[in-house]
Amino acid sequence: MAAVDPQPEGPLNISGRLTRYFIDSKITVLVLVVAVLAGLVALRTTPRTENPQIVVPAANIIVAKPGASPREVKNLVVDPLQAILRGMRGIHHTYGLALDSMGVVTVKFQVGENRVASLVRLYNKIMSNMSRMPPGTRQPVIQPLDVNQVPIVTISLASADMSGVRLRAIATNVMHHLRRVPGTSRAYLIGGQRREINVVLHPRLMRRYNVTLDDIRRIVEATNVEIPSGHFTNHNRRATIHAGTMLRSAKDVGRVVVSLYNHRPVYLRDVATVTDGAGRIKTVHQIGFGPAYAHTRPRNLEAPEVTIAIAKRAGTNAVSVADAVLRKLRALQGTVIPDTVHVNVTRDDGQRANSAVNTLIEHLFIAVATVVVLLVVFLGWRAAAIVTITIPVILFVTLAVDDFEGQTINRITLFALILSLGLLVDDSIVVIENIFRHYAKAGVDRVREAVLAVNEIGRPTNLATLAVIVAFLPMLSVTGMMGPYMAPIPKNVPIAMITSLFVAYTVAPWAARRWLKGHVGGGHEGPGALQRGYARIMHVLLSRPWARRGFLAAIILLFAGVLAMPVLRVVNFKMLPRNNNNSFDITVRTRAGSTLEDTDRVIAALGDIVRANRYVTTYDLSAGAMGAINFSGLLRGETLKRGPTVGEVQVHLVRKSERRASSIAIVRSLRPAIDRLAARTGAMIKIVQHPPGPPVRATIMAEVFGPSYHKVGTIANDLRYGLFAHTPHLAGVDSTVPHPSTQYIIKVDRKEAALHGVSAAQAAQTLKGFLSGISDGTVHIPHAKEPVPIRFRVPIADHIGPNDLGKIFVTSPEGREIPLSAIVRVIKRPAPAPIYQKDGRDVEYVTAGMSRGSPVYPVLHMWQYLKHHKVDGVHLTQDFMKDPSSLHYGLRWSGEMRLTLNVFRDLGSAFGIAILLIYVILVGYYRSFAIPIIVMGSIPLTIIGVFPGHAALGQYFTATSMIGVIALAGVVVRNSLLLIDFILDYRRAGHGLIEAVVQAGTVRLRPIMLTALAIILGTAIMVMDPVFGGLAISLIFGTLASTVLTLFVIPLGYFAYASFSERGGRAPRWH
Amino acid sequence: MNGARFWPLAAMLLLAACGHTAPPPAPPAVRPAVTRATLRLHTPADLDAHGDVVIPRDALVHQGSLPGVFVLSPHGRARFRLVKIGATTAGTAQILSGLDGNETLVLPPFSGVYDGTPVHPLATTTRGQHGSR
Repeated sequence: MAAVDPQPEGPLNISGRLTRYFIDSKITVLVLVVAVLAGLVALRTTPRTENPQIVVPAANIIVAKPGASPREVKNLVVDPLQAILRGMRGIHHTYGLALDSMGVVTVKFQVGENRVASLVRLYNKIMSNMSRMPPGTRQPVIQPLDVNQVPIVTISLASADMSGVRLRAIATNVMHHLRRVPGTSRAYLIGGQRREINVVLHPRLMRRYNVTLDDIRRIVEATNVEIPSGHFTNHNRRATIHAGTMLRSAKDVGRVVVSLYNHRPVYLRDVATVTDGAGRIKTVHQIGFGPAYAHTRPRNLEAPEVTIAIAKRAGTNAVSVADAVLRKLRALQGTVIPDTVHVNVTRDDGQRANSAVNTLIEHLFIAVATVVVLLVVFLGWRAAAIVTITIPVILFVTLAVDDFEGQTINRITLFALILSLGLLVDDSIVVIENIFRHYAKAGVDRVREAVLAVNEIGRPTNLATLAVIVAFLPMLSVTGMMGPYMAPIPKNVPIAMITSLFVAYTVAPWAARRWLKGHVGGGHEGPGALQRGYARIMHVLLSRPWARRGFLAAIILLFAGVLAMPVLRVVNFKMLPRNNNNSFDITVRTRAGSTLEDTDRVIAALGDIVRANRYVTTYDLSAGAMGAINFSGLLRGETLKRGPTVGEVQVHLVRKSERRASSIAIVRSLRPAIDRLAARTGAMIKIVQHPPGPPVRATIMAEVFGPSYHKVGTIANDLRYGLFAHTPHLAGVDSTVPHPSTQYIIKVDRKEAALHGVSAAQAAQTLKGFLSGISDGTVHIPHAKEPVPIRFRVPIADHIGPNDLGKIFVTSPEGREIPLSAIVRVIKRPAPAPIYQKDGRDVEYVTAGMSRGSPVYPVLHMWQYLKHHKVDGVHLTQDFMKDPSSLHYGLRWSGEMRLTLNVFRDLGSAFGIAILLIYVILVGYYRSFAIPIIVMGSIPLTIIGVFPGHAALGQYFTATSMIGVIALAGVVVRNSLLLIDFILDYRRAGHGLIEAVVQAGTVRLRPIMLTALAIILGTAIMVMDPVFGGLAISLIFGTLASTVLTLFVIPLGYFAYASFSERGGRAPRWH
Repeated sequence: MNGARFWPLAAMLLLAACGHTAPPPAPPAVRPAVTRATLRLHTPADLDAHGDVVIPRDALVHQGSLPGVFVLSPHGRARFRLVKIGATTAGTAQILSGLDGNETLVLPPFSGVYDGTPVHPLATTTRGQHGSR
């Protein structure tokens, strides 16, 4: 058994040589064992994520220039800064925002740029240009926006009875414990109140004791010091000395002597109320409990909460980090966290990733099982068993390679595996079938025959596999965020295909030699009814020209009809459909000038709407700030949003496996009530569903450019209230043009101020102290885990209007008290609007979401409208891809539409390249230019199935459908290739043309059907997936149509070609 | 050999066996209805000279550290409403923001009253009541 030398007729090709080496080798067993072990290890250790991680380096650069108007900020800060940054390599876009006293520039690098290198370059660039910043600007704050900042776990601690300060203190403590869990990175708190020493000054008493805010601040600052002042050495001992009196409590602060009055000390507590507790309330965060909540409910519908948000370090496994964090949390409950506090995990990305991955692994098993059943039916027990062994080996090797490459296991990886399942059994099937055929002869040398069998089919199998691989590879060139999102497919399918080829040449023959029985006269050798029927139809078609022409005409008609489907909108396009998620967000922006209490009321009303849905477990209400950030929020720039008009509701649903309605349906059911609320309160309410793929700033986004910013604003507003408001299916139409709001300017009268000997700066400083309070120093409380500032303010009632300035005093150098009202004038005027910029040009955005359907059609509708109508007397130039001209008023459609166009453009060119590559390979194989064209004739036939398939199931033709079409190119070529190969073989064996064509078709009918069915059944499980359903539909219906038609069209095509060329290129004479 | 093709099936069964069952949702919290006096606010009777709403000081409650009042909802429930408190006297509180002046406030005692508790109005008073407190 040792010497294996089959002595074939000719030299063996690479497939034969591989088989000869492995068919009786111990190494084959080792390879099997190693592959399975590596796969199991990979399955356990590879980091799991829900979606592939997309690296989009981005940063906010925040520059403060106090006192400057938005226009000044734009001209002096934002414009030059953008100009500096745009000179950098790898910058994709810069977004500028000029506000009152502050400018923000958001830099977005190209997708896939190295994060660290980009940020280092950014810092360098800004620091080396600091001298160019105008005087008066503060040091820029650079805030990197990073996926790894997005918390993977959020834990809500809620209590209605406990003070916000106490709750926050508990949360701080918990956070410090959780931070120690390995793998965690940034952790922060949202909500609750910080502990502050509040010094509420009483202007009346201050006047009586003749103390001013300035005095108090100076004295408290001077008192609150403690410095290491050296050391004493005596008695051979050395002791360090600290000198000073540190303030350690509210009582200490109250005892500070601020002045002398009638030779008696005036304590701070004589002119102010000093308390230790919460500061002024700027944000409100509450948690509400829905009908599906499964733990003990508090008696309040909604209770104040503090959220602990924990992010993970780059490259760690979200599943294990989240698990460790939650284990630790359970340990803290009852000790660090009192039992009266309600603890809820409101986000667990680890669990989310794990369940997404596990569901798909389950689906993968189901798909494997279906394919196995199919194999048993077609091949019988033994052959099916051999092919079945190879499946896990191939999948495990692919997973191990992923692990080795440092990729994650995510939904897309697993979809790639399910997709390749139908393809990867093929190689083994072909090999086993051929070995089986060889073994059918009695009394053969099993090793020799197996090697010969593999050698025989080696070349076409290699070629077919190569065709599939080259179909997928061009997809790696997809640009933008969609590139890394889809990358697991073009990476994993080729790996699986190469592995399957290797396994088919090694493991399959090895197993076949041992277990495959060559039972002569097996059940499936004779032609069945199907084959006989096929042969009869083929004979008719081949012998009767009219039948042939009729068939051709029918195919062309069918093809034309199918191509008309997208035009007639029987099939609609969309980038990616929505996913069924376990949570969604509702963002709120109340009218300019609204108070925190107004916003909270809108938020509470939203809470009531949301709570009515039976699938809601909990929901987080935030007013004055956003809740815990997520990836799409990060890219939409939500980290910058705060202030009393901002709010958000994050709604958490029961797991999707446990509810009937999808999150899409739930959102749809909530929308009417939310729209009514928006109409009643005038607030801008948007429902944000987490996109399955790359996030965009808005689904529909029109960027309006033009020479005059004022006019641009008018146009944007007109579009918003006119065209956008009247386009169906749009929801949450919004624009960046603000509502007019008022602003008070308190002008220091220079003459008056000079007469009183007070500087304008002094007056402004005093005013700020009174209006917004001044934080000055911190008290030193040893156990506090957050700094405790001392905040001076006047009671809120004293500064409610511009008429109360008479109660505020400044001290002149002579020590006279001068009421502020004497030296300032109050002017009321509209607040200046912020200025938006994109890539250095002024822009206003008009945005909208979709209540249902695809954004492609409303955009096309609006595009048509604007092509023929003027807005504000201006004809807008419209663009999709390029920047509009800067001389005219123009509009660029951005948002999801842009992404859709980019993706279909990229996938389209990938498809083109794939077809070209397949052609080149086929030309190399057949050494003919014409035959490859016949072989590739099966590719357009797929469309006949793809579009009607989408129409029948009411699905959008999405980016994943397009991937399916590309995959089909590789798949169907394989079928027609083997068909043509057999025809050529039969002809070489001396059969007549018609005989060869019919025979090849009859013989290949079974294997072709087996291959097609393997793909159809293997991918069937994907049809239900909201995102990858399109891929499955493309594959299933495309394969179905193409297979059925290929069996007729390809032989007929070859027949026409052959009879044409055999007549020496003369036009065929039909007889 | 035959065992080999069973393993995916076996693994499938295993997965199905450890499948998750939904925890039953907790029953609605017990919120026994209470009977409390209420105060119907009216504009402009309950406004002060600045145009801000003035309410009895003891109608104020704190949830956590959040100041607010219990407003009787149309469904007859006490709902917590966040307010911003301005000047207070012994008996009254000026509300700078959070109330429109047409709400019905739930009056103390607040033991047994939570956000969402059904409230049977005992007697609805209108303006002028809080001035004399």
